[in-house]
Amino acid sequence: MASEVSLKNVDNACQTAEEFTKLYYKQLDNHRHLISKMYLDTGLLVWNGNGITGNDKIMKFLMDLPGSTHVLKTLDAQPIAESLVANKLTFLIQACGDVTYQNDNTRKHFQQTFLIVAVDSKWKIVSECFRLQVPHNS
Amino acid sequence: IGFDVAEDVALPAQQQSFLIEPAAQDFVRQFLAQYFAVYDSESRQSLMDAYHENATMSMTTSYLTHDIRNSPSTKLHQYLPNSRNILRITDRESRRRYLRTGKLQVVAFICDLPKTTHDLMGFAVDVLIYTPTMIMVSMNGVFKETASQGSRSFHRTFMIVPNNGGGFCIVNDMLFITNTTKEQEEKMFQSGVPAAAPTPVAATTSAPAPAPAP
Repeated sequence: MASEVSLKNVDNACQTAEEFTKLYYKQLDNHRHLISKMYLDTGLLVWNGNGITGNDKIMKFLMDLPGSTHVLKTLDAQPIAESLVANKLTFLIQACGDVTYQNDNTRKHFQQTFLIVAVDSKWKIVSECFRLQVPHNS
Repeated sequence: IGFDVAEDVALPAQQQSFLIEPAAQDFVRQFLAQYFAVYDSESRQSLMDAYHENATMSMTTSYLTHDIRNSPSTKLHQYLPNSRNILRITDRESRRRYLRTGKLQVVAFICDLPKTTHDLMGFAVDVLIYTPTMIMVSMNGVFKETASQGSRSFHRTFMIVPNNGGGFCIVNDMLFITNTTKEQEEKMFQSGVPAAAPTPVAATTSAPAPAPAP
């Protein structure tokens, strides 16, 4: 049987995922210069297989991408067992949908996973994996 | 009068794989080869050994936007009733129920999903965390459903931790399934043998062999 604490974490993970993604995609699409605050200093972004470490470098990488509009279609979230992450509240979030970049204005399907942790009552991205839905075999 | 904005910014080229540690490659390659050998077999029951006692798993699914195909092989009806899309599932009890908890529930759920053949050579694999206590790996790829012969695209993330027996097991599993795009369908199962391709490994029913401590 799942304990009361872990069930509350399930509720919390879902609610946090909704609030987190709402803010994340708003910043990414409309206020990208503010997005570095959403990452840990040592955060990791893996964008279509390109790894970028550190929130300053991540911000620079994201600023160089064309303007974007993301539309979410599915969202899911799970808590990570606290014993695995030094009792820090940590959630795994998966978001999928469509993105349009201003350079070619064609709709692309994307899938994205975030690992976020609560630090001093703020949610920060530990690591993030973004992939466009394209063939990967070379 | 227009605006002075860069219009020809191209997207950075995609890479097939990102490894936070080079040492992760052999471990992850072997783990995924063993996992999907069982996952694609007649019985997924022995995946019981691949999951942590308190593992959690959830799946979401959706159709591609403006996909006009409407054939039996593009129907996602075998996934949709179990899709834990919290944009739609808003009540607390359902959100709890759709999260499979404990390896019995997880494996029972996985056993009920349609039988598959994954294009292992065509996986994009990103290893985001690789420490002695936790490994986070995200996969993107395609598979065929054995019965319908429909082809699907998926995105999946495993959190992997050491188990008591010196091996490793999955503690979080998040899966997204949708249909393949035309481009994906044209290229699926057509890889040669790229350098990063998983080496075929005999399926075992036991947990993956321990890797050297990262």
